[in-house]
Amino acid sequence: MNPGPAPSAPPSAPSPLPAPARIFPLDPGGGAGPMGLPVPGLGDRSALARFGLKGPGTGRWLAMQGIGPPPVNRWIATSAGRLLRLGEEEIVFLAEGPDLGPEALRARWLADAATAPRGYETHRDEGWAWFRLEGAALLGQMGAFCALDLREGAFAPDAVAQTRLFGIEAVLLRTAGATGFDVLFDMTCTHHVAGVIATHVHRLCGGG
Amino acid sequence: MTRLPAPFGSRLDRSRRLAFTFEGRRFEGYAGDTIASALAAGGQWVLSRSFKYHRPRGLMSMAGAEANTLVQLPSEPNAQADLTPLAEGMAVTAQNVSGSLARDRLAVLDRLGRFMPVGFYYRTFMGPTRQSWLKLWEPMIRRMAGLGRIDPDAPPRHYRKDHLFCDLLVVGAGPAGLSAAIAAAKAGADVILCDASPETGGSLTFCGQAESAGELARLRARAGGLGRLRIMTGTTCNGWYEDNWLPLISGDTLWRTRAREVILATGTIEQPALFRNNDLPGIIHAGAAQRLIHHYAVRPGTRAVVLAATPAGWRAALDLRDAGVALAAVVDPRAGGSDAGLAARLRGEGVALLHGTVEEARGRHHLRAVRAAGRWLDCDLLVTGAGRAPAWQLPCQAGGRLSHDPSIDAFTLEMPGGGRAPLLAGSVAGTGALAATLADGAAKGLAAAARLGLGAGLAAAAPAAAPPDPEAALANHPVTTAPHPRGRDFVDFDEDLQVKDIRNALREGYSEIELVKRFSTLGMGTSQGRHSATATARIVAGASGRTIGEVGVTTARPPVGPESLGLLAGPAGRVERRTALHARHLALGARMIPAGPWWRPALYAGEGDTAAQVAREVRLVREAAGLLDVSTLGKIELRGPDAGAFLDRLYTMAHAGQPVGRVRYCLMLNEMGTVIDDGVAFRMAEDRYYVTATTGAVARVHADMLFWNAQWRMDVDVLNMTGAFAALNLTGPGARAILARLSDDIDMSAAGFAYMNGRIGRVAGVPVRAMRIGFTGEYSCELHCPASLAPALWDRLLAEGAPEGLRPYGLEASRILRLEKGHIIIGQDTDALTTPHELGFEWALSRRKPFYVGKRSVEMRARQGLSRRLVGLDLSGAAEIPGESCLVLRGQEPAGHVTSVAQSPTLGHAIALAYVHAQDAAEGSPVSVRCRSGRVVTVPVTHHVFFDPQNTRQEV
Repeated sequence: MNPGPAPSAPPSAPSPLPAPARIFPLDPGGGAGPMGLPVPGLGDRSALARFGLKGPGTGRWLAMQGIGPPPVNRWIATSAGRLLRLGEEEIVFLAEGPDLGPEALRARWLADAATAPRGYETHRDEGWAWFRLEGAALLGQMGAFCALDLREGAFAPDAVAQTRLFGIEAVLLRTAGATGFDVLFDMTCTHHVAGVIATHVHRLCGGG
Repeated sequence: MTRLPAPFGSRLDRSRRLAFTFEGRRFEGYAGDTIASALAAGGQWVLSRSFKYHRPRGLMSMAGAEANTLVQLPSEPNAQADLTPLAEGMAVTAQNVSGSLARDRLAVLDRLGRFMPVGFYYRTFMGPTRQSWLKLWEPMIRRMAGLGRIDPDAPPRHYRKDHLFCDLLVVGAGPAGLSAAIAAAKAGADVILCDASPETGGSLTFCGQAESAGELARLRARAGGLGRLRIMTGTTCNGWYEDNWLPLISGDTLWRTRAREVILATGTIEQPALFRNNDLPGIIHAGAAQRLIHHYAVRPGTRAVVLAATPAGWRAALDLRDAGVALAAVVDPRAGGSDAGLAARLRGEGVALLHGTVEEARGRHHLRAVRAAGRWLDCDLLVTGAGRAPAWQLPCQAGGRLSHDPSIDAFTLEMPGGGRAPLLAGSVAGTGALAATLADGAAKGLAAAARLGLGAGLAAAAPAAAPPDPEAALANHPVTTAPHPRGRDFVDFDEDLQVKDIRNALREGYSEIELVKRFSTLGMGTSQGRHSATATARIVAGASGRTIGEVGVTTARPPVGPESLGLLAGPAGRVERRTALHARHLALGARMIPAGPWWRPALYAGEGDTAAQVAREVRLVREAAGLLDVSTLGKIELRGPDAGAFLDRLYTMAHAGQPVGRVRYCLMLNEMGTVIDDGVAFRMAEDRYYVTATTGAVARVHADMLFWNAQWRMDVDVLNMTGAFAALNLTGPGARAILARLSDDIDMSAAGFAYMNGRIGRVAGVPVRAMRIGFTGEYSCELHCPASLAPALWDRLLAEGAPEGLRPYGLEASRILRLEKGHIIIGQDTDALTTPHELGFEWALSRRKPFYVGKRSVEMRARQGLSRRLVGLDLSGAAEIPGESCLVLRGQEPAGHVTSVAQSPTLGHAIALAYVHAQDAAEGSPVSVRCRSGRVVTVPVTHHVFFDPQNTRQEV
């Protein structure tokens, strides 16, 4: 975690207590409350590592790391995870699993303070929730959640859409194996999004 | 019952009888019936009373195109009886009835027509009679207006929105639409074919010709075998929008459909004939008669006259004969006849064939006779095949224009060029005969495929010459538009407008069709001009010496047909946001309230009523220590070499020169000089600021920053991190001691961390951005941290703060604390015109900066002088406490209003902020406030900082 430079803080003293635990909205005691994952096929990956940069120098710094970004609104697989290009100078890395590829990259970025410009951190691991939608039942309902044409051929396997889903802004892309979709959205809307999905699916199942 | 035996009744399931009531009387129908068909089978033809004259009305088109068939269902007003499927136990009633449908007291209005001239609203709202509106007409119209009743206790319906995508959308699954869809799908296109009817086939399903049945079976078989063709029956295409975006409605689902290409095969709309009493129940269109017979096995009468101005009229006559209806006469107005072959068949059977037209009808609640070709004919059914117009609504929404070919008196559609407009197929494009319609559909399907880059060469392989189409020239016959001397020749059935009404509108000077519409309300009813537009074009053209094409029809706009508000609004999905501490608040018994999209704790559980609980939380902050979740605050990080200069342009104070480690108040204006937001800016580094914005305005502030950054092209990056970081406000006399114990690396002493300073470090092991600011008037420190760590920080603070009595407090206490301290809330204490000078915020306006957004305006407005000021009101002696928004008076004139009011637990009396006249703003000035009860209280103006004006507590 990088809260920024300390303008007048004394040297850090180690905390006497264990490092505080991170709690995400769908965790026990999280902001979304006791709801859990309401629908089969819906996965919460919000606790997995993410690292985002944006602003001048982002591409240059990536190049210095030997990483060539994809075109805007595309993603590629890298050794540090999937790399999404969201703008000329905006990217985000997503961990493919419990690996810490993005975290390692963040550590390199933090240590490389001498390089300027090198982009600015976007705190996507804190600001964006990450849901994965898989399974025929859930994927068949994507049209109810999103106005995009997600048919094969219309939405490429490596496409990234910055659009609206569930009534809020979101980033949408196919999973690495094209088995489903990954959705990144405002972390504070986790309860809302899970609720929209649950309500929709349960109504289709006749749950009223 | 007048049911016909099978094979009549193709849509009926005769094994399932359904009982229902209409106006309390029991009826029976079959599954597959509509309400109207079942009632017609039971001899009930009157379904409603007309809008203005309360004349009895019944079904006319069986196509859901007129107000005649609107009925009330228990939980749904304005159900279209000719389209709504019958259901067991339905309780159907009539609408727009005073008394009963059979004995409507307001039917007397039919005799008072001469006192109800066209242009009622224009005449009433303008000129010397406009004063009569409120006293006389408004109460009367309020009692009479509206069709149907809304049932507030109706069970909720679940509406759904979904999205569809296709290469080609074909609207209309009649012969042309089916042919087009089949041709395009075979060429490789992904096709959706939709139709409002419950089955494909269109007119082929109710034209009793053997040729039709065979062709229908062939088309359905071919369509069914095509995997690329999705067929959506029972689905209405209710509009065309830019880029081929079309809403398809299936029941309670709205399919937002995006198609690369569109073919409109929407067919034609039968037009009524104009003659006296042309609205009597028992007078129906040819297509309605055929639908009743073939779809629903209803014999629509016992003895009929048929007006056969088109081949469709003649075919209807043959169908009536087949259904056992006696034909009193077939009346054909064309000199050469409308279809010689069909006429010959009937003549051979001894049917009287008359040359002429229908001039008048008579009957009370049902047709009893018509006068045709100069003689009266007894009958209980008049079937009119008077002509047709292409269904122009969707084509015209897509840029088409309804024109008129005087050589054959046919209405035609012209679509815009350029190759992107929807294609028209079949009768909407002017075809008449079945063979021509099928060929046209197939050709348009191939043309659409070619536009999509599919089926290369297929279009060229299509037959070069279209089949002969003699019926195309017989689509219309110029009906008389002369008004009957005794009227009741209705042009617009929904609005009860007669020929003379249109002519009177013209005499009033409303010569353009759009003006005629607005003056007369023509076309404003359920049919939206389907049955009145072309007749009106004829009337206006005839009276004004122009051609019908020059007159045209009124603008066609979506929606094509009625749609429920629930469909547009639903599904209910209000976006809600929760802070990372939501579960913590619930666990502590917080009463949560919405604040915009957020949920925030209003107060925490405790003894006593709400006021006592809030007062206790206020005292907690004043006497011990309180913790408030302020995560909803906007949080924006600005970084880059130009960050300070960027802030200088956006906010009114100076930030480029703000020392690192200092926090400064931010005031944002719009270009009018109006206050739109405030917050603080913490300079974390030379090139890095952390800026807060109000909860409700951060989205706008962020958008404005992005806008200005794009305009100014400065070297600064803007990041909205409102959701990424949580924020806690620890405040009260005991707060500093708690922080001092928990801080890992920040010197929390008064000297080390002074008021309006910021630090970055760790508290309880959590990385924080700490700011010494104050909203409560007490020592306060805002701790901003990564949201995922906020629960840990919250827990540690509450645990370690127990010795100081630390407890959480809610939004209600926060609002009182800030009011006691005189802090404003943007949006509550400001409005769309508030200037910094009205707030007494001149101190927040930099005089040195050459520019900031709103600077020029705010200086100009300041030079004009103040008309109001925001001040404090001392309500300690008030006999009644005014509410927020209550008016502040100067004499009898409003001079301002109360913006915030609360009972102050600290001061022991009520306090308020209010706008008062600038000349009354001096402390001690008495001002009058009108309370909600109407009582006026006079209270003194006081300083807006009610508590600790010397800031001895917050700046310790």
